[in-house]
Amino acid sequence: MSFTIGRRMFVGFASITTIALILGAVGLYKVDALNSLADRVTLDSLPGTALAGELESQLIRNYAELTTAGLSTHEGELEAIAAKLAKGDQKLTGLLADYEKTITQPDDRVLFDKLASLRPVWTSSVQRALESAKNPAQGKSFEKIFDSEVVPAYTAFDGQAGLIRQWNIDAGSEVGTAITNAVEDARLYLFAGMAAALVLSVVLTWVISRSVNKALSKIASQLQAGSEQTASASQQVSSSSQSLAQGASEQAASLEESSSALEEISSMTKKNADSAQQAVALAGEAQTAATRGSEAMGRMSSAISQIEESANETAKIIKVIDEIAFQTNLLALNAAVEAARAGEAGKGFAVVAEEVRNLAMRSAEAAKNTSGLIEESVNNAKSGVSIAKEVSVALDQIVGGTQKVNGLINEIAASSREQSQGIEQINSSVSQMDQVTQTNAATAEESAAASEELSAQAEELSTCVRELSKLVGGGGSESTPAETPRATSSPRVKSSAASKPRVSKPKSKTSFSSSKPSAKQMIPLEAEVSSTSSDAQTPDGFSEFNKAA
Amino acid sequence: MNTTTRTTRGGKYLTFALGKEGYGLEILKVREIIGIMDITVVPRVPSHVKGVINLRGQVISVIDLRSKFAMPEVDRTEETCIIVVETSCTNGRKRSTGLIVDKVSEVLSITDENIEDAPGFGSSVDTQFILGMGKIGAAVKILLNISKVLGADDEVPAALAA
Repeated sequence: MSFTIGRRMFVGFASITTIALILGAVGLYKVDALNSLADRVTLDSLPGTALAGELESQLIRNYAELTTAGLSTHEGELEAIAAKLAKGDQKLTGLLADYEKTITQPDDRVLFDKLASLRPVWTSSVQRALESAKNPAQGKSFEKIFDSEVVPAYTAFDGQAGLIRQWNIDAGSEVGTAITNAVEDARLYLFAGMAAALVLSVVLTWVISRSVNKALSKIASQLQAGSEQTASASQQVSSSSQSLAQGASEQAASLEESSSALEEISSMTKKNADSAQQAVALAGEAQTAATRGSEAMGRMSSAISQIEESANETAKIIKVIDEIAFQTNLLALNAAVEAARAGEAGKGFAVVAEEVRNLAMRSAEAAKNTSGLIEESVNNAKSGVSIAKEVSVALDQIVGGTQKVNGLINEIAASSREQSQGIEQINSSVSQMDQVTQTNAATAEESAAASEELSAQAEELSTCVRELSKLVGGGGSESTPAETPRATSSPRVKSSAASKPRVSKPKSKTSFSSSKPSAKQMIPLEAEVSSTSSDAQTPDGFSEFNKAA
Repeated sequence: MNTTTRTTRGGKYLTFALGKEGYGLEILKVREIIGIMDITVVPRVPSHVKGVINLRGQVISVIDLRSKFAMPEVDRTEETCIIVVETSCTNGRKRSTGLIVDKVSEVLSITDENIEDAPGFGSSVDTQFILGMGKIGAAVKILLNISKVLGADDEVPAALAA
């Protein structure tokens, strides 16, 4: 099945040509054979027969002339006869020579040789008869010679000539039969060849046309499908390029917003850096304050320790007072005992002792209360010391924290500076992106135009497929080509709408002006394409379109 | 002697404390009150006899009243005192004895109306060492007959007493 159409046609035509060549060769061969046979007739048999007949008639004329010689009486007459005879003899010689030229067959040669051998006999007998006629007295008489020599020579010669003539006639008829046979053969061969050629050509034409048609109709249907797909694809490309253009314009707007946002961010970053600087100073102040607080706490701690010590001292003193009160109490009791012993005399003393005892009790009470207070204050001082230690630790932590904060704020300041640089870079990137977006918009235009061309091509392809289908003979895909122009006509309107955003865009930045010319170059091309593709709906418009493309 | 004391039980009493309870001693039996001091331990004496002390040249025996009353002993505190009492012996001589008490309270005058006899606790309980029950407000002070408390077994040998 890998035969190309050319090879198939070559095989078909070659087989038919071969048959034609064979037929021609056979015909030529037969014609040659017929020609040789006809030559035998025309160059051998017919002239042989004619010449043999002429020879006979000449011989008869000579013979008749000779007979008149016997009847003639005067000399002049004889001379004329002799001259005529000589002339006739010459004619005979010429006829014989002519006949010899026509000899082609060995049988003819044998017959002619015999005739040639008989000829001198005839000539000499005629001479002798003439001699006797001239001189009747000498030798034998004319009649005798005529009867004894001339007649047999004539008979033999004439007979031989008759044989030759008959042979030639026979040969002619024989050749005629052969010609008839050959013609029959040739007719048979030619008819057979023609029939074979007819059958072969019909079969080959059927086979080749069927296979070629099959392949072509397959290709035509595939091409039809391809053209439809191309049309729909071009529509898709057109719509996607439209959305691309729209997206590019939106992107451009977003980029503008991004640019303004970046400017804001940049100012914010600068503010951040300033704030970080101020925060560094504040953190330093906080650090020194915390350090001072820590030192004060240390002093306070030592003060509290001193308070604790003095409280302890006070507690000792209070204890002494308590002991003294106890002793006083005991003394008072002893005094009361002594007073009781003294009886009536000791009554006043007992009252004094009671008062002393009361004082001792009060002082003991006061000492106890003071001791409790002192203890409390000692405890408070102790807790104050521990709190002061905690505060000191906290202040130390604050100092460390502020140092860290200081470092961090310095880092923040450095980061802010780097951020500022980064934002500048981002700004330049955004402007580059803006240019890229512009290029994208232009590219979308180009792809829209390309999809126009593509749809036109698809239309053209569809027409070609229709023609091909006509050639193939299948009219199955007549309805589909009507759909493709409708499909291609709609994206064209959209693409013109897609070009609108770019017209309004260049107001955004001056840097975009570098990409404008390429976009402007695109517009006339698109207009050209749209005008040509509108013409392309008529079948004649394709050639114009191709010229434009 | 008992009868006389019984008739005139009102008078001054030195009150002291053993644990939570308050006790009273006739003040005329008390010689003096001293703070706790070093006690010289004497061997082969009953467990409630803690030893002897030198009271201004006079050696007197010291009894732990808690041990005597079969109460659990406690550590000495700053308030622990020794009450020196004078009791008359059978031979007519006066004898001084130190009583270790938890705390000396005060000298109180208790009238006879506020003193009642010790209630009966059953026949097996001897209440002779209780002089009476002194009522001071809502509280009750056990008034001790110290001569009965310090029985003959508490007699310090005469050689030591001299």
